Amino acid sequence: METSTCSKKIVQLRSSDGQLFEVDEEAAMSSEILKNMIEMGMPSPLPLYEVDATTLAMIVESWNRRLQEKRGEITEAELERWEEEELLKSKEPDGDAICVLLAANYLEDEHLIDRAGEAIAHHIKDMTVEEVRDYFEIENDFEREEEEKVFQQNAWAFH
Amino acid sequence: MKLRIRSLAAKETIRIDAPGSSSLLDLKTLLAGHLSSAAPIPPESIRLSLNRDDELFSSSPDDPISSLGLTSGDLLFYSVSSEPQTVAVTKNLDPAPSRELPADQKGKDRMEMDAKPAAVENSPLISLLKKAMEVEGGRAMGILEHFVITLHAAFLDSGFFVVGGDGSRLPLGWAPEASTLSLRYTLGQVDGEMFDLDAKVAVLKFSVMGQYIMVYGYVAGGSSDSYRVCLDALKLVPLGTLNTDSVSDKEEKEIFELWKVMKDGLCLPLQIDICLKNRLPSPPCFMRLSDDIKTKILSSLPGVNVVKVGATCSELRQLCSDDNLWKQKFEEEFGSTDRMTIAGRNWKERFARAWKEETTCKRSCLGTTRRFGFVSRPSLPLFPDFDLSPPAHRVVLPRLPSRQQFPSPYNRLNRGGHFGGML
Repeated sequence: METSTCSKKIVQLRSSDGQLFEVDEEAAMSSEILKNMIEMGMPSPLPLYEVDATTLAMIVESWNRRLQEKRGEITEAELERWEEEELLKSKEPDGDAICVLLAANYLEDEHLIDRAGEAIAHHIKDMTVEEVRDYFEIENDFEREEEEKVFQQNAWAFH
Repeated sequence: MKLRIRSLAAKETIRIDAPGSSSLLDLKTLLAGHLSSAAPIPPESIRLSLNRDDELFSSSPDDPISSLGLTSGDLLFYSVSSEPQTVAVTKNLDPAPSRELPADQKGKDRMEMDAKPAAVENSPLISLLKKAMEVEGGRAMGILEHFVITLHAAFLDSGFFVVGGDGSRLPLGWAPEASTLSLRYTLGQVDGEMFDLDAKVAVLKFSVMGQYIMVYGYVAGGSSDSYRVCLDALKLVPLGTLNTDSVSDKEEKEIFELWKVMKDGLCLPLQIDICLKNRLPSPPCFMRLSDDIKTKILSSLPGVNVVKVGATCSELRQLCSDDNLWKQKFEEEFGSTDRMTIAGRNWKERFARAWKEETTCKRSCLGTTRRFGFVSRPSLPLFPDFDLSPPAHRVVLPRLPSRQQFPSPYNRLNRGGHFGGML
C-alpha cells in the first residue's frame, strides 16, 4: 500500500451498470469488502454488483476527501461540511442519503454508514408519519382498527 | 374433536377429546370431570370462551359444538363462576384460535373471571408469536420446535408463503421431524408465469449439532448463495415462554434479538435473492437494510419520532417497540434511570408518562407548548427528580458513538457461502 506521490496504487472498480472508476487504493480501503478483495489479489476491475455509477461516483469522492483529511490537506470540519451539504443533502425518496447508506452497507464502510444514518435521522426529524412513509417508500399495511390502536396508544407523541 | 382448554386463573391446559356432535353442556360436563377440586364442579358454572372475553353460547341446548365454529385443535379458555349463567345469544363462529380484543372494549358480554389480573398488553411481536405458537403447537414442544415455529412466523411476516397447503401453516406432521426438517417458502408477489419456477422458492434446511441448531437457506435452482444462521440452543430457551401467559421483559428482549437475527440472516437476504432472480422490484430501499442499521437510525431520533416511525407499518412498529431503545430514549431525555421514580411496565410506558407530565407541567406553568425538536427551558427546577435540560438539537448533524459490532449478515451477499448471525 504505497502512498508516496511517485507510485500511487490505483484500483479499478466497476459499478453495477458497467461504468469504470479509478480510485486510489488507499482510499478504496475505506471499504472492508474492497480491502478483502484487494488483499486477496482479485483482478481488476473489481465488480460492485449493488452500487450504480451515480452512487459510486459520490462514494469515491467521499473516500478521496477522507484521504485528504487524513493527510491534512483539508480539515475535519471541511470534510464534515462537505458530507452534510453535498453527499447527504437530498430529502427526496430514494435520495442521496438512502442510496449512500445502502451502498455503504454493501461496501462495509463504517464511517459512511454512520454518517448516512445520521443524515437520514436528521431528515426525518421534521416529518409526519405520512411523510416518513413517502420518504422510505413504505406501504401502510395496518388494518384500520390496528392503525387506530397505534395512534390511540401513542397519542402523547402526536400533540 | 381434540380441544385444549386452558384455565384463566391457574394457567394450566387440559386436553379433551369430545365428539363434534356433543353439545356445549356435554363439553362442560366432560371438562368438569377433569377438574380436580374439593367439591364437584357443576358444569353449568363453567364459562368457556375462544378469546377470553366473549362467552360461548349456543342458541339451543342440543346444538353440536361444531356448529359454534369449534374445530379440532382449537384453544379455549374456561373459568368457573358462582353466578347463574345469563342468557345471551352470542354465537362465536370464528374458528380461529383465541384472539385478543382491546382491553377497553365496552358493551359486550364479558365472562366472569375469578382472580384474573388485568390483561397484560404484549408487544406486537410477542402477540404475533404467541398466536403462531397456538396455531402450530398443540403438543409438548421442545426448544427446536419453538424455534421452527418462530422462524416460520418470521418468514410469514416477511411476505413468504409455505409451498403447498393454504400457505400459512407448516406442513402436517412436521414436529417429529424437526431435526431433519426441510421447508419451502415462496414470495407472495411472485406469480406462476415466470419461466424459472425453482427460482421462486426459498428452501430451508435444519440441522442439530450438539447444542447448536443450524438453518441453511438458499433459493432453489442451482446457482445461488446460501445463508446460514447458527444458534446456541440455550439462547432459544426464552421462546418457550411464548406458550405461557406471561413473558418477562428480559425474555421479551431476548426474543426480539432472536427475531432480528432470523430476519436479517435468512428472511431478508432470501427475499432479495428471489426478487433479483425474478427481476421483481425488491422491497423498498430502506426496508432492505438490516434491523441492526434501522435500529441505529432510530437510536439517533428523539422519542416522539421513534413513535412516528413506528406508526408507518407493522414491521417498523415491531422494531420501534424495542425496550432497550426506549431505555436509551428515557436516559437521553430524562437523565439517569438510577433514580427513576416513574412507574411503568416497560421503558416506553415510562417515557410516555414522563413526557406527558413534563408537557402538562410546561403548559400549565409556563404557558408554552412543546414545539418539535426545541424545548423551552423552565426558569425553575419544577421536578427535581428529572433532568429537564434537553439534549442540544443542533442544526449540524450530531456525531454518533461508534457503531456496535454486530455481525451483519446482509453485508455478505453475493460472496458464495455465507455465515449469518451467530449468537
